Amino acid sequence: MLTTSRGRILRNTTVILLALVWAVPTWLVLSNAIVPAAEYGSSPHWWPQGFALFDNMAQAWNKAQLGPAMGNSLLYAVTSSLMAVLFAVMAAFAAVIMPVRHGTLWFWLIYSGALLPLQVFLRPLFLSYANFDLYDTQLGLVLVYAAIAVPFAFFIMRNYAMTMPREVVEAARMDGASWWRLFWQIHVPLSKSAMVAAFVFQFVAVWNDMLFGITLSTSGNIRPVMAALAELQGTYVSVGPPVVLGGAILVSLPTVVLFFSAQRFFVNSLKLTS
Amino acid sequence: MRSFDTVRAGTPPALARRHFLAAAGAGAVGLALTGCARGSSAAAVPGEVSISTDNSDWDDGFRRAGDALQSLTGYGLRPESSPEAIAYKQVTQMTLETSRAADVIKWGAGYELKSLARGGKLTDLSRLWERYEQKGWVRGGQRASMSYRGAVYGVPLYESHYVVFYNKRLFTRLGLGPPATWDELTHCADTLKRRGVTPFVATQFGGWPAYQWFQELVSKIDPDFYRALVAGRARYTDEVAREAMDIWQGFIRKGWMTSPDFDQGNGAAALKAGRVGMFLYGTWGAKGFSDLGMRPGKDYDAFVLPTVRKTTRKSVITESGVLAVPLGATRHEAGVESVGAWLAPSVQRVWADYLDDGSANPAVRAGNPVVAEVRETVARERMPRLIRYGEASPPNLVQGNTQDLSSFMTQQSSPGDTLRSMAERSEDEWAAWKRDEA
Amino acid sequence: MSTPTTRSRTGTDHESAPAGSVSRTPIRPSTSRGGGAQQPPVRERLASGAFLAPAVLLVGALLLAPFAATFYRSFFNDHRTSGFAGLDNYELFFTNESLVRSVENTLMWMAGTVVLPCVLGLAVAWLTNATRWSRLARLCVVAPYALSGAAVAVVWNFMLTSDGALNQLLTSVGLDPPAQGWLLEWPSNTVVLILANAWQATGVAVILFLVGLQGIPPETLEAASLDGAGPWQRFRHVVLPQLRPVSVIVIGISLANGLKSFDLIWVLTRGGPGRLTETLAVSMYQETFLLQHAGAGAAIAVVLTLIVLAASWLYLRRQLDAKGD
Repeated sequence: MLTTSRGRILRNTTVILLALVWAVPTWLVLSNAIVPAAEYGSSPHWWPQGFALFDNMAQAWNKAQLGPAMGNSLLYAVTSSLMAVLFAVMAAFAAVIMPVRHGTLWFWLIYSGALLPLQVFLRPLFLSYANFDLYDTQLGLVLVYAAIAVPFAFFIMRNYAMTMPREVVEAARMDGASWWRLFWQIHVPLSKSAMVAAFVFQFVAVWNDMLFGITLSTSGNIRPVMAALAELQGTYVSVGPPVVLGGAILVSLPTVVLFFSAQRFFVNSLKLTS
Repeated sequence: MRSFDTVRAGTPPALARRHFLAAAGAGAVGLALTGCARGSSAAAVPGEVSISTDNSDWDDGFRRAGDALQSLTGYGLRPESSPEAIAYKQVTQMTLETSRAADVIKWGAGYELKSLARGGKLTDLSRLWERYEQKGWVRGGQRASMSYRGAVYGVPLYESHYVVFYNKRLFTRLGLGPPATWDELTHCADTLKRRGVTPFVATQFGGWPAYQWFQELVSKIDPDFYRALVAGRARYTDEVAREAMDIWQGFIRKGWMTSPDFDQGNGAAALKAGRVGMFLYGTWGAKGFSDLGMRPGKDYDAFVLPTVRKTTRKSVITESGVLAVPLGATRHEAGVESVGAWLAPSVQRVWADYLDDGSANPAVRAGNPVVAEVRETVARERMPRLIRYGEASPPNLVQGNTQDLSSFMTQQSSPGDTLRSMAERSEDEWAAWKRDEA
Repeated sequence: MSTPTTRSRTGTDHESAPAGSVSRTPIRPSTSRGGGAQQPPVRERLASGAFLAPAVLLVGALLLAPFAATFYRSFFNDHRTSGFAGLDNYELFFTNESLVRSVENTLMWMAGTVVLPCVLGLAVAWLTNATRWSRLARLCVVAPYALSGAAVAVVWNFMLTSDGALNQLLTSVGLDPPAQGWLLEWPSNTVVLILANAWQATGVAVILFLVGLQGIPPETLEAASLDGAGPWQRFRHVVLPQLRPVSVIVIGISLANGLKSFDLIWVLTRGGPGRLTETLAVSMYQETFLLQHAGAGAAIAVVLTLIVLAASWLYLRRQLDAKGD
């Protein structure tokens, strides 16, 4: 028993140490978001003097017009993630369950989208968006976000489909169910936990995107939230770090909430199915 | 969030889930296709001219200046700022190739403007410039940095000089005054250093600041050499450049300069706190001191860096932003008209006060006494205004050489190696520039 | 959970349907991939095409087509009137020192991003899976993942500048901070950037591994315990194999993300000082957008893509066909 207790001590120390190391930067984010902007000198605060978190957030909210920007990002993140997950689960169904030829080729065709560096797309996309009148429109951003979300979602869905019991599908096929029915009545219900996982990851990815936001939109009524925040950061010198950090925490809240509610859900759904 | 609640609710029949998902999917696509807004920036708004910039800090200033413009032209200004300077450059260059350009764009002077103008997508503003000259709202010397192949393509947005800000209270306490000679400057630095204050801000943080001390030291040794160097007529390996690098290296070795990863954004605060003594910066930096509650002339002041030798002609490094009008602007005429009234004193009064900096119109006095004093000194002593390094040579040459200088500042490359690399690039990039001109 | 009911319902609904023709069509992709001797009927292929189409069209039009344009562009030079240049742009990889450095950095990033978040993520997930209080510790590790780029940029600047928090911390415990700043000397600056990236990226890996861990039936672990397996042996022989489907995702994604690293470098150093911390993605951005060398930028993009594709293919080709359980 000596070894187990020593093992436990070792394990607990490791956990505490890791958590402490991780918490240092996070703590700096918090404490400096709390410092009143006027009090902030020129170096980071370890302990906040005064409490102005909500003032800082309010200032960020007004200055960067985070409200409409968050509305835009919510639209982009929800619609394009839903589109991407739907398309991905369909494609995964076709690639894994259906008798498709060159399944590997299709996999790489779609998945390669996740391998290309994003900066490659900026110039060609900008020019064709301008041609097709998609530049600086919400539709344009929804489309590009859906496109960048599909490959990773497909990867998750395909991986998940590989682990699904095949007997179900085979039996239903023998019974003459159409592919369409099979997809909606068997495949989708079985995949739902993975679909939620894919949705959450894509939501976070779209929500946190800045590159396309600042390249494919210029107007305030189109701009996603990270572009608005970047603008606030651009005025860093005049507004001060506490306001930037306050804004950054504010815009991270939706993803944090989504993530932790979904984390519970991942676990529940897996327990039910296994 | 809705999808989780439904799915988590337990075991609804597959059909309900299917309908929900189908509805969600269809709803998503439908929303995307029908309910989508278009950008408001390219839309023509009556009575307003859109101006795109890379600095949202100025949005309010443009609106206020726009109000002043409105009484002259009938058009106000509607700023559309991009959050990131490099993304702004890239997007603006691309919009010029499309029909999505703003009515007025902010750009850099000198070779920044030349390389944009030679794409043939900017409006020739030469006539407008002549009218400005007749009114005395521009100086003759400004034209060169606003033109390409003899034609003017831009109007100066502001005029900043590079000066050394200093903490006046700290200087008084240590018995120091603004240095008029090089010896006095080094004496100040020495005194500050002995009192535990870092004498100078010098950094490569953010990229471009790396050339600030280079342009300053070279031009304070020999302003004519600086002119020749940036025009590709002198070599980076020549004696003057070498001397400048050696002085710089000496400053670094003596611990007179901040660490090269110092954030200039903190410069004003560090100066206020007395952790640095002198801050080489554009006069637009004055606003940062005012924002911190420091009073011009009482808490902080500024001087033009003295020349290294007493016999050398005094000079000052000068920076101007540019307003230009894309040929494909939605409201082209209104854009040209607005730019044509930009330097009117009534507009510049509002604008310069907003910036806390100097107007490009020599007839408009700066509102900030420190900036006004610098500008008067420059005028009184007839100092030549040298174009800032960032706009003085082809953009690629500046970009690469700035990176070399930041390698030098972080002690990754010696003065000699740095200059050799800069000299080589200078030859290559000037050749490339001339090839593309042909 | 709905499997049995669904099956029985479809079963009863279609009892009368002739099963013969359908059952002959291969269900498993492995058989269809086998050699194509047994071609699926046209109708089936159309159906599968319809399922694939939305994803393929979206990816094709918005991602692959722009890449094809970039590929084409890489064969033209960067003069003002651009002419055909053959492979000239690719020669940069042999002549340009900073590009060689950039390749080195990219490989460092790849190694660092695969090893750090994956190992740390697995460790944190495994160590905090058992006890309740350690959830708090897990929260510390996961939280940065949700933080936006702006906060990450600000806080790592706080941490890493010479007058920053890390040096304050070191001085306060009596250690000497490095003579040059954390981000100023190669290769330590790249290493520091990779560590900062791991700070943010480990959270995802933790979540994914946790999902995998909680999918492992407790009985198998108990059985192993009863057989006298120690904690390490249980981890090695029971847990790790069961985590395979999850680790394929984590490693596959980390591999691609590590090779494409851009964001954190851009906000913290812009590839500098000089061009010391550039990765290929940063070099590509520099060439294309700062230097207006679209052709050279395109060539770098193509090479980078080839590296990412090759690495992913090498890793995934074996994992893809594995059934995972």
